[in-house]
Amino acid sequence: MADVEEILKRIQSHRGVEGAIIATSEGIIMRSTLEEQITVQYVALIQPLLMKTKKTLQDMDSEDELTHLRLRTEKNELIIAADKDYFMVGIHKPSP
Amino acid sequence: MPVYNNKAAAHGRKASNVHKVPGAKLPKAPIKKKDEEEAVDVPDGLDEWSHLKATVKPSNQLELSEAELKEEITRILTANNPHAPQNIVRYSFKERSYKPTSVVDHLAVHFVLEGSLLHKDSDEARRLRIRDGLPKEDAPMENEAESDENHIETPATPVEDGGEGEEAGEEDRPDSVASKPDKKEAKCTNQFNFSERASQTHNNPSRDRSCQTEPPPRITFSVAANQWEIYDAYMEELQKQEKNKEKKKTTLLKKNNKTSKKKMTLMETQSDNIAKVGKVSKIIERMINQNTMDDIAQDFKYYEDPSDEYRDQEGTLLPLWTFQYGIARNLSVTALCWNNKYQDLFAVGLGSYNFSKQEGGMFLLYSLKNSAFPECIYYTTLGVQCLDIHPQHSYLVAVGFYDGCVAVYNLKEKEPHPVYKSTAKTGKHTDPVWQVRWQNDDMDNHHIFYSVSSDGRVVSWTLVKNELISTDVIRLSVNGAVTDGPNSAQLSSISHGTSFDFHKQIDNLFLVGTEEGKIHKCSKTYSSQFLETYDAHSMPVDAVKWNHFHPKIFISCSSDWTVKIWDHTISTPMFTFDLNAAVGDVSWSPYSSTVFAAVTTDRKVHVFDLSINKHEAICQQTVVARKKTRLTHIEFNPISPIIIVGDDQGNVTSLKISPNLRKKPKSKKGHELPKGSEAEVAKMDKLLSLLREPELSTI
Repeated sequence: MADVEEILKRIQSHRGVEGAIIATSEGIIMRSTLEEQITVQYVALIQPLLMKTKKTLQDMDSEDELTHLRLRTEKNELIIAADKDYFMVGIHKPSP
Repeated sequence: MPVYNNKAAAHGRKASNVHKVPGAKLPKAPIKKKDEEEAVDVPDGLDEWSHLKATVKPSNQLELSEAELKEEITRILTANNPHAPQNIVRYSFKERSYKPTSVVDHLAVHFVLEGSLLHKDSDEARRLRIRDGLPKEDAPMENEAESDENHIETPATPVEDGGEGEEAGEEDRPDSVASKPDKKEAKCTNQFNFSERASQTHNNPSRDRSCQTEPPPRITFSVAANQWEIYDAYMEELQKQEKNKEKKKTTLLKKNNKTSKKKMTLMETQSDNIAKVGKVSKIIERMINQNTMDDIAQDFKYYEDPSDEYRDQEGTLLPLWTFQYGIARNLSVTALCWNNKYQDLFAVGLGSYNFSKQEGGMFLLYSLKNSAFPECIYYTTLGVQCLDIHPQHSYLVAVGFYDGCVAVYNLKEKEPHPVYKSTAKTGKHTDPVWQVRWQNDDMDNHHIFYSVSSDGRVVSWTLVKNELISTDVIRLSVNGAVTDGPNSAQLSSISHGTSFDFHKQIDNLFLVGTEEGKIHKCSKTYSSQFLETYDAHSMPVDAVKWNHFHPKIFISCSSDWTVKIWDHTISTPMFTFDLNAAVGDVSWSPYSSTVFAAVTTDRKVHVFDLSINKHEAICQQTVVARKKTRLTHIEFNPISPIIIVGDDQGNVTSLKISPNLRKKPKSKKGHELPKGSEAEVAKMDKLLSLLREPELSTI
């Protein structure tokens, strides 16, 4: 458990990272480095997206599994990695 | 009365008979009679009746017996309206059924005439008089009925502000009155004296009052139901049922267990269970690193130095990631090893070459995917001098320490302790272990590894259950192998081994390099003597490596600034290279038999390709910036064109090899490309033969 905390700390202190959120696959927020409202918004929007993505992949190829999802936008990049019970979102602003 | 009644009845009947049957047997005369009868009805009734007693019976007359005839029928005159309905039924909502009304209105209006007489003192009359301008008191004006209507109307119009209404009404009236005298004969527009009364009520201004609350938090729950979902659900149900069956069978026994389990689960749920996120968080970390170092990742995969086309035969090394771990800054990299199974994983051993400063050590596992932080960290109390990852079981790592201990770590286990460790009892070395190597499992399928140390012993260690069993393979000595004599004082000096390498194909054969600069060729089976000795260097042999392809060639490097290539059948080196600085390590490339790389203490990496240039390096590059760092080790990645270089600051730099350095033998047109190892061997042979020919020729 301490490892995870460490990893989270490292991620947070990494150059360009704006925030990191850990939540369960139902949308219960476990850890977040952003403020609550934004976190809630992110989780509420990303959680169904993840569900949909997983179902899509499952339908297309039943043995395939989602490892991670990258949402590159103009301003930053959303890195979402999903587990069976948990998912984690990293908001990264890579240097241009 | 009855008589009279009867008479009347009879008369009625007769009259009716006469009425009913006009064209009957009676001739015309009776009609006149009828008239007469009617005219002289009452007085002559008796006579008439007696006269006509037994005459006519019409055909449809009711036949009655005499008794019945005499029966007295009472006829009552009532005020009831015979036409009034007697069975009016009204629906009662209270009782939800039709109920007959008992009271029925028996009023029958026969004639209505509405009169037009007005009382002369009434309002109406007065008004009419005024209208006509007549002083007459009795002004028979028109319709009293109109006054009725007006009266009906006035109470009907709602008058709240009576004053207003009255005024309006009166206004109307004066108007009508005024107009009337003028247009006496003209059409009366308001002949009914109709005046509208209306009033404006004061409307309270309406105001909307509303209250907005925060909407209750909503979660959209949606599940896409496909066949997988259904299948999963069924499987879960099945499992539950099975569990229930099991529970029923063993409820009594497991009571205690259950309570303890409950406690356990409680504990787990209380702690945040963030540990499960471990895998996911690692991925995220890697991704973020990849993002930040996107260029490097791209270079690693795709960049091929274009300038290589212009540089005729030279190549370059493109620096990629640098792996640093903060705490390791004081330590130098003492060992590097790539993992065979996961080719992006490599192990770094950290310790110190400084005799006086031994501060403990560690070994780290890095992945190329995450250059910011090692995947695994193992701290050791002693400096790590060497390590090797088992080629098949890549979770086993053999480590040799500065104090002569060897240990085996199992990477799968999370404990930071080695699985096996050698102690003084089990025959650990007395001097630093310079190299460890895994070998093939022995006959009993136990894992074996070998170690060489400065105490002059090459020891093989077998992993048997929980222990390490050591077997001395050979003892190195200056003059040859030492045999233990019972009495002989063993003054023969022990030669200190610094490196060794096992032959790739021939299992028994191995080479040992010593501090004296000699290389001994030995066999595992033949422990008392060396097969051959080469006088290689003037200083300790830092590394000895067999060629990956060619079975006869090996390379050695030393602090005496030289790198030498040997054919093990020949006691003099085939090639000698002088690198102008102490050579820390040398390594053959896994893709070509003629390419090798060496690192020197002046921060340079030298890459040689013998098929291109036999005398000089095709690449000499300074790899590290800081002037005081010395490069200590170098390793080629088995698959990707990368080399990792360790230095004495604890950093590992990864470099990409440019295409010029990885040239494969060109195939002649028409020939098929030969397979890898054979080609390499052939290449090498060609080289060697070229070498030897001039020698022969000179001789």
